[in-house]
Amino acid sequence: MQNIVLQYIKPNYLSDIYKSDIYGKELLLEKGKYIHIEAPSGTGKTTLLHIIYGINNLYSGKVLWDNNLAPDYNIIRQFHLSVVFQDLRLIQDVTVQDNIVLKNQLTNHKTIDEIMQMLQFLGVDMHWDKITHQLSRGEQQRVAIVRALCMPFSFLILDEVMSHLDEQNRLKVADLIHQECAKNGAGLVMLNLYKDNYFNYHTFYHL
Amino acid sequence: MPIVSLKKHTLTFKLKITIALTFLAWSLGLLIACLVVNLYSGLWNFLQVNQEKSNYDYNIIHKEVGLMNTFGLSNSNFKQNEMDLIQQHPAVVSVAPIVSNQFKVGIDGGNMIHFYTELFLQSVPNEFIDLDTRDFNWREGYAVPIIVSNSFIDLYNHGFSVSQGLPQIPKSIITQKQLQLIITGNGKRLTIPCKIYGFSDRLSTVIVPEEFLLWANQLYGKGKEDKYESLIIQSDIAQGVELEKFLNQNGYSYNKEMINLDQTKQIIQSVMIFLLTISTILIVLAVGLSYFVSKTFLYEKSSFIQHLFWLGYSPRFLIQSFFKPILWIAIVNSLAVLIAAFVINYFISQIFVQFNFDIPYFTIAFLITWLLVSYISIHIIYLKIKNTILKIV
Repeated sequence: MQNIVLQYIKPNYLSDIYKSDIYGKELLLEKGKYIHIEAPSGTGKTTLLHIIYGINNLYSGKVLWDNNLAPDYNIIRQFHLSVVFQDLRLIQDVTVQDNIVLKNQLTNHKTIDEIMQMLQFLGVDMHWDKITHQLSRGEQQRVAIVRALCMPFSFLILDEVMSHLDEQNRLKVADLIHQECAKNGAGLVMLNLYKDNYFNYHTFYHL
Repeated sequence: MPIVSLKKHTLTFKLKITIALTFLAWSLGLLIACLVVNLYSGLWNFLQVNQEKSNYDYNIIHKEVGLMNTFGLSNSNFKQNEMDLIQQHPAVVSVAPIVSNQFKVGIDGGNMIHFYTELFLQSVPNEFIDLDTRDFNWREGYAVPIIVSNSFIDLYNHGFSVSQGLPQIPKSIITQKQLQLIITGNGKRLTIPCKIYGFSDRLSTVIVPEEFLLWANQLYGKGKEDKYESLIIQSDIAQGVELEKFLNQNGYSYNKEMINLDQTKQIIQSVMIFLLTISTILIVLAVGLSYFVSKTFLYEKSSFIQHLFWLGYSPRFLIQSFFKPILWIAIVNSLAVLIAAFVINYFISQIFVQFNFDIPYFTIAFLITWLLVSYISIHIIYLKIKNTILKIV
């Protein structure tokens, strides 16, 4: 998967006079390119992620995947597009292990050692056997990031993934994400409330 | 790399037990239904065979005796016009009077059977007797053949002989032995040899040939009369209910224990229909329950299903993951019931061997119904799982 083109997409709930760098315009997401999208709360960052991920159909415009308008989204979610949702969407009543393995076993992209190394790097390896809801929000955020890296991907979209992390952990997370994006030659889309400098972004947008 | 089996999330212990119980319930319902059908068929054949042996029912009827009879204001005799009326009833094939003795009579057992008792004699046309009556006739100068009720011999051997200290006598010996009838009437006395001709299940009295009783009544009694205490009726077994109504309406008493096969069939039919209805309700409820159990379980797991979908699991994979365990429970459970059905059927066929159970018939009937109900219930569950998962994702 080399690119994603957002052609004049606009959520149905937005009025026609709404001004945005992305909604109602054409946006090209290229493999290997890092994009930062800044927007205040409630302006449609999560909606944009849902539209690209194929779980929100209430919009006008088109999303093209290598010029393909109707790809198999199950394949996209397994091999091409990885996401970290703002609300994380971890399964709360199963263990951290189950949450990660349920994702990884779809493609067997990582070995157990590689997963443990990533968790260790982010300081959450000791929670491997814990039920997910026992973890703090910051710990859950790091688990969700590791889970998102347990698949091959051409694009990684992150929705406010560092909101509950301290500076030291943010740097570690950014380091790990950058390493994995480099390994996959992937593009990165960072959706955030404010402009950050954790990655060398190629382009900055306001939503 | 460890694998997280979806089975531990899709097939909880609670679901396993619930699904197993519902499948067990419908399988048992089905088993009962098939056993009922088979048992019914076996009993029906059994009754048909018995009915073919005799298409007729025999009843001895009397008039009820009341206080009017005691004071001589009424009598309990049948007259010829009443016999004609009975004969006209569609259920009645033939009717005949039971003629009784009009003299005092006793029987002496002779040297071997030290036994004397006074008794009464009756006669009916030979076609009403449940024995081969080709030699059941009498001519002057010959011994009188006598037919005795089977129950009389049993009463003698197991009651009278024991209480009186007399020897018990097998039937074969009694028929060999010549006995004496001692007749007294009109100032005359006669001792005449007699022999037991046979034993009747139908007639609970002492029967002698018609010609002998006619002769004896003329010599020792009042002679031929045109009114009778009792009648014997030969009736069509299929119209037993109508005959019973007719007899009751006219105040005739009869042996009510002699429930005919027609009534028996009706009772069996009603019981079988009742059981069949119960088992059908059981099947329908169980199939419905398995549907609602699947539905409730899927709603409980809807969040988990949605998370799996977001992770990249396809709806098709999720449908299969949730359906396969239920399918396996159904198959294992149903196979167990299938085996149980054949084992139970085998034992029933051994116990009720006279009903001549038709094993191939049962096998085919049960298998077809089992496959049909299995397919319908499993398909309903599959559709429910499919629709619910598609709705969730």
